[in-house]
Amino acid sequence: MGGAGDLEQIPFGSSEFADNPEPRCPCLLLLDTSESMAGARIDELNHGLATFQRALAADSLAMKRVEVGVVTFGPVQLLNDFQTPDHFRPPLLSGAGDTPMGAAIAGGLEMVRQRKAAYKANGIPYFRPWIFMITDGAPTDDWRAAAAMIREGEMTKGFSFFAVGVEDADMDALAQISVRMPLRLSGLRFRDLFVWLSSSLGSVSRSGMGQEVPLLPPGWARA
Amino acid sequence: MSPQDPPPFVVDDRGRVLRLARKLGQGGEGAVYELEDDTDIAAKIHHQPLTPLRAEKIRAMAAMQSESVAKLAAWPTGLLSLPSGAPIGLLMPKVTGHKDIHHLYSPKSRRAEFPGADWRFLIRVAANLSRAIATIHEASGVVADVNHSGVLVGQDARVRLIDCDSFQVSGQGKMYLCEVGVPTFTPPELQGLLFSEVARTPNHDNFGLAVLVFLTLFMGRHPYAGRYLGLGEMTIERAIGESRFAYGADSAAHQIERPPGAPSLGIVSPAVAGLFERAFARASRNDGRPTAREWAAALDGLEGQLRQCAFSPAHWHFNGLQGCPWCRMEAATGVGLFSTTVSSGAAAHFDIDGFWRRVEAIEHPGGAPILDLPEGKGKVRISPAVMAFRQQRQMHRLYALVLSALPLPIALFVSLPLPARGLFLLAAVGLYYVARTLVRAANDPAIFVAKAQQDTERLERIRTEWQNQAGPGRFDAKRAELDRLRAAWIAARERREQSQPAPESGGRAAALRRFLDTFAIEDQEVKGVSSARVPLLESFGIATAADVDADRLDSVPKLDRHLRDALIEWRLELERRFEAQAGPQPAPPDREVLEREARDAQLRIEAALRTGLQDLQEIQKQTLFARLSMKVRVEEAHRAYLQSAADLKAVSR
Repeated sequence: MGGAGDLEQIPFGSSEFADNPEPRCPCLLLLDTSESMAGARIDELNHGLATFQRALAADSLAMKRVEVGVVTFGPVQLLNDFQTPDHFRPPLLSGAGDTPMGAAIAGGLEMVRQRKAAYKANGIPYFRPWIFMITDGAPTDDWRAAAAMIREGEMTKGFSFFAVGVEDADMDALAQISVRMPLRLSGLRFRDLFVWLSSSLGSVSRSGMGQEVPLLPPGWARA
Repeated sequence: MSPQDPPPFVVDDRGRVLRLARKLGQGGEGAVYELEDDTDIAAKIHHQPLTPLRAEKIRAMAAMQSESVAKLAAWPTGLLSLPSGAPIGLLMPKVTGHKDIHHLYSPKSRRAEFPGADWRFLIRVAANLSRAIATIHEASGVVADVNHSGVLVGQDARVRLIDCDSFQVSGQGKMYLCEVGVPTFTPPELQGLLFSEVARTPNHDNFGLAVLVFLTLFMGRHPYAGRYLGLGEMTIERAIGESRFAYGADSAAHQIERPPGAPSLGIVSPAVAGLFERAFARASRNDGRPTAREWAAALDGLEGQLRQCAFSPAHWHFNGLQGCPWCRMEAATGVGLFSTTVSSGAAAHFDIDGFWRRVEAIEHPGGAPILDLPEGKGKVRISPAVMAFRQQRQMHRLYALVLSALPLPIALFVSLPLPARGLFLLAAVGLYYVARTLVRAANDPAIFVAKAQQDTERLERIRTEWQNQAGPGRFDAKRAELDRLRAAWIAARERREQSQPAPESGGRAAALRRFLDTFAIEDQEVKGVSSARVPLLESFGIATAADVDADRLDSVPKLDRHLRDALIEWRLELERRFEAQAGPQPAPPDREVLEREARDAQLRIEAALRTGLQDLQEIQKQTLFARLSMKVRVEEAHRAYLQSAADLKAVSR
């Protein structure tokens, strides 16, 4: 180990990784906030997000490893960039606008790409990112490019993309976007969904980095 | 019932029925519970019933308990079954007051879970862990699944090994394998193999031990997590398999660099560094990794070669280093690596300058980018609806013209009396007006007007939104708020400093010093001090009563003992006189209240600053993100606006 190595410059802003060098398990939530979500749906989704934060915070290892990011669509907005559950402040969502799903996916994938680059630059190991999209409608913009990016990402194991349809969501459209079979939420069981999501992320964050983790059956989904 | 709900009660080997109480912890295979009637024992309950082999292994382990192992490991003491008879778990001693080792080695959780733990503590824990594993090895066991959640650490730095039922043990002529392993602690020669088919050796354990020791000494950094300079993904598993130790002497040859901000291998003594190199070397694959005993000895050695940093008492480092590696790392990252145990009530140190550097490091997003929106003059093709509308209107106009022209030939070419001619001409004019009104009524452009207006308004709205979200306004506002908070914090610090003078420079101690300074030895008749001694004392800086103290007097060579004692007695007498004059110690509450208020204000501002920093980071990212995601919308709205404007122009003609 030569002296030159010790004079290496350190980029500023890497403090979060010095503070917590645990491997990261990023999870991006793509949430539909279009007009049709307004009312009971968005209320339940908000409760679900709060539950999510609490459930993650109760798992001391997940607390250091899972990172949550939130992008909403209708219009497409970044609400939270990736951060560990202790810093994650669940946003309060309201429904208004259309369903620009394609733009949301494109933006979200870019966020995931940048986050992975930050992990690599700082020597932080990471698990395959999860992207979790929840919608009650059908895309109102062009989603074909997004679907192609998802196919590519799933094939190269760049991330796992899950789509969840709420009530009258267009499941056929979702099936064309997502490689994995989209799941339909049973009723408005957002809280069950997020409890499941946090415990699944917990098991992933305890696993080996390249391992496939057997997931609990999603009790919140309707066949 | 979800698959993770525990059974209501379980049965032990002797048929006792045990009720499960609070859940203590959760692992991959199962969860650990307290028992309702026994506080010293815990029950580990698996999610799935155990295989017969696993049940037999637990019985065998219960039979081979030993005292030396029981002290450091939660060794299984009995098998547990469901009421149906299916084996489901085990009994073991309950470990209380201990925490997972990963809480200790990550700086973030260390501050909360192990306050006051410095590097000496970390080295001691690593040494104790080595001793625990050495004990298992000497009892012919193999831990096999060494990992970050199988080691618990107490506040006294002693460790306990848990999940012992996964150890590899031999009993009654049979070897029970360990079926699990955590890949980031698995040696290269076992990567990718099926654990249920491999007999592990202490040399395998010694790899996992080296990884844990490294994590503990190197602030939670994994030895194989570095910056990979080659192409493709470099997972830890792959790096282990390819012996790419990111801190090693030949890391460059392995195209891997230690992460920015991470300490170099040189922060440990050469002896310990040598053990790491050996543990992670390709050559040690089959044998030859440092044993747990070697680790214990080398770490004990390192503990004896430490020095406290001159600037920060919480920093202990290897005494062979020139500077303090922790100071350097803290300065570079702005992260406090070790918490100092501060006396109650004192506000933890808040490094405003370091904090402000982090604020300033957040790059200003700049103005919203100028969008390349085409002017569209002449380039916009009229929409088909407008084309159709115009064609139809042309036709209608033609019909109207023809219709209104009908009376003209009569007026012009038929010989009629003048008034009649005039009547026909008038009729033509009248018809023209009627037809024109009809044409206008049938070809109302109102929808195009409305559309144009709507698109103009939408563009206006989206442009405002763009300015708000993609422009620097929100960032600037938050940054200004942080500036104000910083000024407020500095003001609060000044208030605190004024309300609390340093003990040497002000207050009662200073008053005493001023009082004593008025008594020069020369002027006084101090019993036993002849004026001949005064110059000698003065040459050692002892001129007044304030200068008289035992240490200083002892530094004067050949000073008569009686003289020394007489001077000290004289000073004490003067101090008593001062006390009598000055009265009792002034009551401190006022100052304390002031001090507390100033401190609370400062703490509130610190909290606001921290949230503000986070908000600023978020706003910066949101702004950049909005530019990406909104651009298409603005462009689309602009296109729609141009279209409807062109359409409107076309129909107005």
